[in-house]
Amino acid sequence: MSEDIASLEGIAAHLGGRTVLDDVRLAVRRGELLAVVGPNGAGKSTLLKVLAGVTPPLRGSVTLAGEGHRDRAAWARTVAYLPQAFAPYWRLTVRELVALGRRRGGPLYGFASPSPAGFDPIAALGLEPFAERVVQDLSGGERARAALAWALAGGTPLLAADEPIAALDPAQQIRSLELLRNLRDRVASVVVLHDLNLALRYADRIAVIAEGRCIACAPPDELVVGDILDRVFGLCFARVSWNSGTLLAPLPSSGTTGL
Amino acid sequence: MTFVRILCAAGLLGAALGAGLCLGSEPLSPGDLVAALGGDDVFARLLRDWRLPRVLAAGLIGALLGVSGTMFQGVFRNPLAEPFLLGSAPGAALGATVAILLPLPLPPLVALPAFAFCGAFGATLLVLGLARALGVREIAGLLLAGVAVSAFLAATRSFLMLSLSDETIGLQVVLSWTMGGVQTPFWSELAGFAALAAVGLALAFGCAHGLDLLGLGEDAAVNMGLDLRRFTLGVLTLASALVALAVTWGGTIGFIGLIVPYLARLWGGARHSISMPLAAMIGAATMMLLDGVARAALPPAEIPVGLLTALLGAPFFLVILAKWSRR
Repeated sequence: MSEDIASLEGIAAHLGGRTVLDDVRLAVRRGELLAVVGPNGAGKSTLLKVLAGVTPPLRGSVTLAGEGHRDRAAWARTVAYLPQAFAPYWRLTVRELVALGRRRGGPLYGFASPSPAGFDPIAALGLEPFAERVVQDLSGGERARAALAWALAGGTPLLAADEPIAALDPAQQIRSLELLRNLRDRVASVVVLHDLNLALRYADRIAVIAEGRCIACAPPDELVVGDILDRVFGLCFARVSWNSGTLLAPLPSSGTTGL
Repeated sequence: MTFVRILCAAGLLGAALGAGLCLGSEPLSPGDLVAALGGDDVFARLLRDWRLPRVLAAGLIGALLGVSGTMFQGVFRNPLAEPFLLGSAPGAALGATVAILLPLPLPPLVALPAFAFCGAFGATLLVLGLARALGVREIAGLLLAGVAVSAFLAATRSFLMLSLSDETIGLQVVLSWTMGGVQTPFWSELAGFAALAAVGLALAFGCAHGLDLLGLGEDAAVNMGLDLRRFTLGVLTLASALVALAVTWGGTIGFIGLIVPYLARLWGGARHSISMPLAAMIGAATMMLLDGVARAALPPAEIPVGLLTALLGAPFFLVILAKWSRR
């Protein structure tokens, strides 16, 4: 079995006539939590859309492990994509939303039942008290957890989540990332994060995206040693050693990227 | 719970069928109705061969409009999308008008639904094309494009009626399409209508899961395996076919496709696998009742049922608009 669950080779993508990704190469390994970081507009969301089969690349290819033909069903079975600011339009309850997620990869027409649950994302994300409530009536944080539960419900081996914890309070952010870490044997995760300290603490590797390119992909302890993050974000980060790890504290700077 | 809701809707449907049979220029009590259905006199035969097929046709029209409205709303992810407002129903009426007024080498029962479908589908595509060409993305803009196209189609239909109708083709026949009036089919015609409606509704129910996925947003739906372009085109084609079938037998009956999906969602929740069958049953019950009222209100004359649905639907539209604006 291949070590990589998905790999991107020479990916280029345009958005509104603008090049947002250019020659991106990135492999996602089985059982890892891969954080994707980078400034706004760097191409992180487009990268996730290409990985999830939502946006076809202009050039390059995406290889999914175990799927010879990359048709829509193969992508649906392999990669669960959680868009940024995911919000169902109709008034679905949390349980109904998760039931929809369980039908991932199944027939699109007819009245098939959701596949039996091997893993209960409602319980895992502490959503039992809200299970019968309408998603739109929940708080932002509860809604974000419901969205994560929907994405995890399909049992795909890979999750591509675009800022899934942006609306959560610090405790819920940590709980969600711990959940994704604990589920790594079941589902590898590619997660766009803006909080670099959470990325350093919970990710197995961090991919740094800047100006449409993946300029580094390395474990946190390797990445934090160099000055890539400082250059990409145009900031000077103070490194603070804490509890066998490193915290980044941004210091004032000119505000321009050093790439 | 779902089963109970479906059962209640079926009960409502049965009650509406009874009420539709009782209502008319000669109103009947429930007891009289039971006695008349089992009798063999002229009145009983009139009831069985005239009023019963008429009530059943009204029910089918309501079911078709309710489900097509649910489909339009599901595709556009908006409770204001409705066959009448999106130009689909006026397009179907124009197609039906052409089929009636022009000498065609086709039997009326084929020409009418075929032309109505071409009109409905063509008008829907025209509205979508105009909206896209004008860079309209919001549903309000789409509805305004629908209003403009509907006005154009209505004017074209009026022009055709004035220029092509003569002593042999009654203006009254076409006017019934304009104002919305349920036709009374022979039993053989009703069987054909019901068979087509059953096939159309079954296909529509099969789209329920795809519509649920679309409600999660286009990116999420594509990631779940939905071929967005093909599915959208398929749903619009099917919804146009349902509208065409309804218009063939009932003319332009507005707002049923707006009110009924709203009520179905309110009662059965957001999943289309539940709301679509409920919309079919609520739509059928509503139309059977309204058609009965249309026959009974000013005997011996009939009020076009389209007037009643517009009287009910216009305020309803404003209520939904207000709720939608507060989202």
